[in-house]
Amino acid sequence: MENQTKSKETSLIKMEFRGLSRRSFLKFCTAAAVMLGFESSYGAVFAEAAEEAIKKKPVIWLQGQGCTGCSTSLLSSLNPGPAEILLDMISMRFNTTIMGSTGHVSVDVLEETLKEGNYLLVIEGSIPTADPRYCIVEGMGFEELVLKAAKNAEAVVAVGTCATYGGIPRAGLTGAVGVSEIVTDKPVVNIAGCPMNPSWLMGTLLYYLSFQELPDMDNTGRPLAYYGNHNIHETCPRVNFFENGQFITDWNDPATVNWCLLLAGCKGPMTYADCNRNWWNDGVSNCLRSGAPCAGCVQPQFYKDFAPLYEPLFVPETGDKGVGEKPAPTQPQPAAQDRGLDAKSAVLGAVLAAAPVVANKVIKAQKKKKGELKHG
Amino acid sequence: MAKKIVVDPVTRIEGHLKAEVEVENGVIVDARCSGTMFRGLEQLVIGKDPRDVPYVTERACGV
Repeated sequence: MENQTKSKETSLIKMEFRGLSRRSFLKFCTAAAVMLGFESSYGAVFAEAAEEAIKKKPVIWLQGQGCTGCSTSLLSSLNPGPAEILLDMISMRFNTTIMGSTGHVSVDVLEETLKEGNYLLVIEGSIPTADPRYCIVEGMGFEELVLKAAKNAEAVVAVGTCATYGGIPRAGLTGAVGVSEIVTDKPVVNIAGCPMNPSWLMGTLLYYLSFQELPDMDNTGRPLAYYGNHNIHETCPRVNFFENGQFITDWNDPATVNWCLLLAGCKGPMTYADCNRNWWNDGVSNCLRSGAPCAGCVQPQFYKDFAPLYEPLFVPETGDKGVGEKPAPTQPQPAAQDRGLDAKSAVLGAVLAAAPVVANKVIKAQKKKKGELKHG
Repeated sequence: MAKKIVVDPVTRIEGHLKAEVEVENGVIVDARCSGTMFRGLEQLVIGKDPRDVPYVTERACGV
């Protein structure tokens, strides 16, 4: 017990030393808890999990056919900042973009962690299947390395749309696929996005650190709290213009600048992510607010089946007077597979329905904790 | 006898880089660098809408 208190104090001193106050740290944990559907008081539970500095979870971050944009997105997180994430919450053992060591020294660290086991494996970038020579890491094909690294991993986190569904490389000739097509014997959680929002990854990691299991997911393997529950079109700030049948067709017309982007190629009706609630760049803006149609970057169809990005995949029916003059009669109903939901997770996906499930988990975790206290 | 030094991976860069250097009596006599990852971004934009191209090719490097 003394040791625990001590370690907690040390981690607090560490955080203050790095300019992160207790207050802003708790604020982040509470925000993460609320985003995942917990009561705000569970911020303290999350904070406690994050503070167990002694038990920091080793993380191996491997990069395949990616652009390092997801690593950069994580490092651009402001609250908590990169130092807090990397030094206090997790123990990042291997990430070629940020690690100090290079060459065989870095490979030794990787091999050692692989032997130790019980690490979280994060994969960024797709896996080429047409020929292993399209991506060689540590002198072996990336597919081989992923399988080797997944063997002793507790869970696999695929970050970015390349690692989750193949993303942009899937449209190319390298036979690029996502992690869940290669790793089939381990739980894989998909944090899609091009790039992923850092809060999606941090929230999922915090959930895992707190409950030792992955959050509820939709049938495309993404956490419901960040993806399946939120349709871009339904939460869009421009949705009123859609309902009035006012669509941007001429990019040069200043009068229509705030109108619906559907005819400009917006994939919002087919896209499920919380971008409109959880703004990007630490709450600055998002694509739709800055005037760009949603590219659907979190969906399995991206980019291959969503191209061309600036042309609509379907045109809503309009009245006799044509687009822009009469309200559009029907709201497009995306097909079930586009929603990324099966019947069960659709029910779970509703915020109200999810509450008891989440509550159960919290109670379970608390009971577990109490049991441990009795024995200890 | 040349001594071969291999640095793989080269870290703190974007992407995958392997560097091989041959040293003889303290002098570098040969050096090779290889980028070990290929996605074919140039090929995959062939035939696509030109407006998509900046969106795709900017993903060459995210740093």
